Amino acid sequence: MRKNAKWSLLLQAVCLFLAFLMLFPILYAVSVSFMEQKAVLSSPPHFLPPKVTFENYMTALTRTTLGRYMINSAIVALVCSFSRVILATMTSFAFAFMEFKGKRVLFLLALSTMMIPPDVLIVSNFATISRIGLVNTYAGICSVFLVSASNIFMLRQHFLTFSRSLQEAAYIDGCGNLRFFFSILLPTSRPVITTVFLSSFVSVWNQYVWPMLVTNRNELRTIQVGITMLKDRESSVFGPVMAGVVIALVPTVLLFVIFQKNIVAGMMSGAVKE
Amino acid sequence: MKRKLWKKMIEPYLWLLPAFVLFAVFTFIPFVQTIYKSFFIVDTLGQLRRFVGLENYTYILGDQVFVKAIVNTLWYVVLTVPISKILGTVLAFLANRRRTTSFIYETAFSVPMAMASSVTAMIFQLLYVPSLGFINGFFGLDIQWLNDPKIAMISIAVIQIWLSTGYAFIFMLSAVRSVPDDVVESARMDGAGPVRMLLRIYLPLTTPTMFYLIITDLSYSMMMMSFVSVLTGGGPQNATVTIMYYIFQQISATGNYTNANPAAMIAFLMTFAATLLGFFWEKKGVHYQ
Amino acid sequence: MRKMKQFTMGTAAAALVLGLAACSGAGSQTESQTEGQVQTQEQAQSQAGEQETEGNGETTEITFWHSMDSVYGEVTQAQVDLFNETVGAEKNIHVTPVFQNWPGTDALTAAMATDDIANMPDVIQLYSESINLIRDYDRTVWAEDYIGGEGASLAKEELIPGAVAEYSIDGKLMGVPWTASALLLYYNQDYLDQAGVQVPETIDQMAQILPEITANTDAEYGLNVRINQYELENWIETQGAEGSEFGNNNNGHDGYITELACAQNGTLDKFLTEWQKVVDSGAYKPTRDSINEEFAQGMYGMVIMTSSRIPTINELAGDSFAWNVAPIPTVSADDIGGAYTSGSALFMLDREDEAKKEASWEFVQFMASPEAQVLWMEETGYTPVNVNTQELEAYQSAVEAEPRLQTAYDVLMQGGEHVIPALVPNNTTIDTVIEDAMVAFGQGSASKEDTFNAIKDGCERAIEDYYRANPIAE
Repeated sequence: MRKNAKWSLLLQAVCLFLAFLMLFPILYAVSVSFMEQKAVLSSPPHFLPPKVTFENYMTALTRTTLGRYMINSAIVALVCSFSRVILATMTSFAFAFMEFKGKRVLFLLALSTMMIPPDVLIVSNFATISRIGLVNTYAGICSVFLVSASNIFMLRQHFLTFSRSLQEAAYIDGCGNLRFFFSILLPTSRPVITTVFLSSFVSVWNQYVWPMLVTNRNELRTIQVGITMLKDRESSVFGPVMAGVVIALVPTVLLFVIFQKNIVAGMMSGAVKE
Repeated sequence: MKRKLWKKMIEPYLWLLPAFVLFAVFTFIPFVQTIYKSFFIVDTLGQLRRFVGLENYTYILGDQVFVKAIVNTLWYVVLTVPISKILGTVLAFLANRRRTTSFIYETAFSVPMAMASSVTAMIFQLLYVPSLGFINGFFGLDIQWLNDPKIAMISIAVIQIWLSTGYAFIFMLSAVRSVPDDVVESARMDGAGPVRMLLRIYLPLTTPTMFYLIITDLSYSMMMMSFVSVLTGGGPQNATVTIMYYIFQQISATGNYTNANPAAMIAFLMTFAATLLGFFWEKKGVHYQ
Repeated sequence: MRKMKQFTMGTAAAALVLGLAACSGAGSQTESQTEGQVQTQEQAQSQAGEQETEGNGETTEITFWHSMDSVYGEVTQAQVDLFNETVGAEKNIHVTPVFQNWPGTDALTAAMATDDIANMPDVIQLYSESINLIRDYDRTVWAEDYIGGEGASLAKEELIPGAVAEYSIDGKLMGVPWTASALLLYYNQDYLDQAGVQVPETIDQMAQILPEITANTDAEYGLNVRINQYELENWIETQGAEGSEFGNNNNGHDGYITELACAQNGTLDKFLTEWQKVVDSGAYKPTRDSINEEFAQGMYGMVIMTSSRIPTINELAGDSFAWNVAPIPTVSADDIGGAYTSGSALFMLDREDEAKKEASWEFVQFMASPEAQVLWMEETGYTPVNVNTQELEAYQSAVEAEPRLQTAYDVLMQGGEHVIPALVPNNTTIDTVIEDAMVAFGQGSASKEDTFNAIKDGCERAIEDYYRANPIAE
């Protein structure tokens, strides 16, 4: 028992060290956001700001309407993530539990959407959105992010590991597809659905090219566009953009911290234990 | 009775319908148009000028830069996909059992996943500066991280590995934790040691997740360009031009869809072929309990 | 069985969260539709609002796209605000600036390809390298048609001659210059004094003093500059008494560039011959890392970069050493010298509304006026494009505070209308070709002949590539 405790302490120390390594680039960004420009690139290098300044944050917040951009991004990311989760659960349910003609081809077709370079689609998609009059709308921004093949794929993988015996029991009980879907499958898949939701939230939150293209009003711009506005391409000043980066990270990191328990609770724990 | 049969036939497609409508509108139809246009000379405004058959394909394949881009992209995939999966899995095993500080390191391991790639590129840009940057300065090195043609792609791959490790970690952790307790217990009763547990129980039972991670990361890495556009612009000596960066450059700089369309087709075909290989593995090596 | 019951009980909440309608197969569609409807309603309302004000004959709304980030974006906003408060208020014009991704062409090409005039700007900022995109576009409104006309408050003579030539095709002005900067030599005065050398006027002189600097000072290198298209073009175009061609057809300003003129007229060869001396000095660094910070920390005796970095260097270097700027050293002693005007101009687009075109012209004129241009002086290193800006008190006090800004202006005037940038097709590829070739040359891994051929062949291929996709209309 004592040996176990020591082992556990050692393991935790290793993990915490690795955690620091993994976090290092982010911590560095946070630190830079509090540095004066002189201190950012200097010899010897600074990890911590020699003199803490809040000026970068002041600049970031006054130069752009970051608050508004965050709200826009949050709306878009939430709508798209809900849509992605709903569509992914439905689609992967069919792929995992039903037998039908062309299943394999359709699945590959869905996956193929991940393999198509988005750059060549973007003007066509802009044309579509412009034709239906959704330029400069939230719906226009969301449109291309409403479904994601990787989410479908993830859930299909999860559903395929779903305990066969449970599934059979449900059907023998006279549970129809709908009831099985809502009453058994979804509740037991909460952790993985949370993961899918979070990963979509993060990926939509970080989108930049499309939201910029379909909006040309400042009020509809998203947070990543705001960060670009702080970039200073011409004279490469880093402080304000790092402040913007840190501000943009806060919501996503908070979500991670809040849902972290849920995500890693183990996908099947609800179903199999008892 | 007939109605019921019909319902059974049609039902699966109804579940698929909404997603496929969206795919069709925003991906399939435009992509089919792209394929069609790839056989034409297309001007900056996207107008078809002249049918040239496969000439656009032979033209870009005769372009050294594009050939270099294909090689670079494959090299990048080889560099990033396996390492990030291995690291993510190792971290997941380290973190498997809950301990007092679990909360801290679990979050830390997964947070890179929350980073936007353009933002990440900017951070590493600072870290990589050879003369005054943190890495060289702190460790007393003199490495031209992004200026040396031999090292530049590896430096970029490191960033991708950092990001994907976080992603792999979180999915692998839930996969490892969802290995049923009874399976673990019975194996332990049979006297299986840690190594055997790993090889016989954990790794096989997490293959569905691993399969997912590899296939999606394959597509993702094949499509990489944001790091290149922030950090190197394809240089030095075209050492970091990827297929996507080639496409991006053709489109954004000169609106040259004549070259971009066939390049996109080639990228798609390569990724698709790699994915099909993955699916052969699924038949043999992926265990769905 | 007990299991089943539990599942059924615990499910209501989850079902609610995930959307009850999901099973009907139309859940997400309804959701996105309602979302869309809300939006279109909102849009319709705001459009109605716009029309109302326009209907009363009151305000003309102008949309202005630019790609100015950070402090440059702030100054842009200040210029637009000033317009809206003064000329705009007087003539009932309201301008809304919109930030677009650099170099500003993404959204424009999308709108052009779909001919979506509702989502086009009235005025757009573009850099000279993007001129090829719109020079044949039928919605481009040429400034030439307005600038000589009655009621025009702006005359060509007020603008820096090089900038006018930069945005002119066949002598006709396409866009009105808005931002300008010059390639300059930045030098560490302390180091030059310690080495006992003068500021070099030619590349030959520069090559001679480089070893002196590294031998007698703490500098790691005498000179740092990475030569891309921008730098190379400057050294080509400032050659001879009346400037030289980088590309044929007067650098693309009279017809299109179809050939790399500098490979034929001897200027490229001449430059490389001189530059060989710099490479051979052994005190030259050909790659670029963090040139601002490195120069500010005393790593180099000299660097060559755009004048817009002057405020940045000032902030970084502080009082730690004396530094100044000068024209870049010339290839031969009798060259015209100076630098070409690099920067951007404002272009007007035809959105089928005469009132908007008139209003756009008012706005564009204002943005090139001394009152608007002087705002660049306060926080950026841009040079005002309007020569009359010099007479404003604000200009004089800005130059008094930072005399180096005056050098940038003088350098631009030195080249006059002779030194103009080339409207190079496929410029990013050409930029890469030049960078790769010149870095290899600088590192000593390529000979002068290899470098010459790499540039010539690479550029020719890039030009051919462009016209293959965009054949010149006969």
